[in-house]
Amino acid sequence: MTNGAENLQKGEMLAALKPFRPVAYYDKHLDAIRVQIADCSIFEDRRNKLISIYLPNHADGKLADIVGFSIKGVRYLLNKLQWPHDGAIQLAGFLDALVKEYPTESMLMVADFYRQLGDSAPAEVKYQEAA
Amino acid sequence: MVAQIEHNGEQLLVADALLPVSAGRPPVGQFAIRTSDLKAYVERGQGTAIAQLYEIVLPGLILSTHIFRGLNRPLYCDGSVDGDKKKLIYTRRPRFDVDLRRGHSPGDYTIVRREPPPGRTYIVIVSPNERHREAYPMVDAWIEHWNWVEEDRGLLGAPVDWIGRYEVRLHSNPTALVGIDGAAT
Repeated sequence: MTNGAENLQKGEMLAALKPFRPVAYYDKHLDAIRVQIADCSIFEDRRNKLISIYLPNHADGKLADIVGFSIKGVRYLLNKLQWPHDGAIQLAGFLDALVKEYPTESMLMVADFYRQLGDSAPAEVKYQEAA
Repeated sequence: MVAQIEHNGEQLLVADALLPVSAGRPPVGQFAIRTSDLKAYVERGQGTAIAQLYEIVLPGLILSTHIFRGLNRPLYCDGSVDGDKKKLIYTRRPRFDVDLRRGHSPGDYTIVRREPPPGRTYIVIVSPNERHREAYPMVDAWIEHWNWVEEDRGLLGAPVDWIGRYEVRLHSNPTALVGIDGAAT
């Protein structure tokens, strides 16, 4: 590393860490929406091609059963739902539409989990395709 | 080896990893994580994911038990509608997990080692460096996602239903392959 260059080492990255808040974001590399409400070690429970549920790996008695979820194949789903491919995706509306199109137990579980987050639920994600 | 390198004025975090080959012992290549991706985790406050990156992912790629290719799901990535077919999935069962405990002030944290969760294995998903090879010739693949998933009870260290979720198994460490008599094949 050269003098004055940005330091990517573990200590530097963790020292710069922002406070965690429930977060929703679009993972452009894996074309997925990820919603996470706790900063913990996560077990990704794959329910089907489109849905994974996030569960905490270590039951410390403080965390909710479900700590998030991911919706995979977002571009495909936007096509299927005939939604626009730019700008923000409103999660409540997106989940409502998905429940109607794919009324599976996992989809209902995700929609129910999101609804129960109430005011703490992240409202939208910025959709951006990989460059 | 895990290292920070500078290339064209940009900093990259790189780690040694096995490269998938059809036969024989896999050669060692270099995988990197984009600085912008790393910073996004920092901005979102995902400290445990960052701790796992440094403690499990980067030093562990070279120790991977299995390498798969192709996600069996609809995926659009990097300008390609076949993005799902190009992904490589590295899996192994680490000897520990890590959590991040935060103190009351910024920068006050402790990385805590935990027992690995039973019945689970660790996956790292990467993209082969194809489109950006000219700009980053030393990078063989980009690290994109990592997490614990359910372990397959037949193929130790592999995710459950690996046949259904991935297109092909490219490599397995022979010690992970157990015959029906329970002996390594």
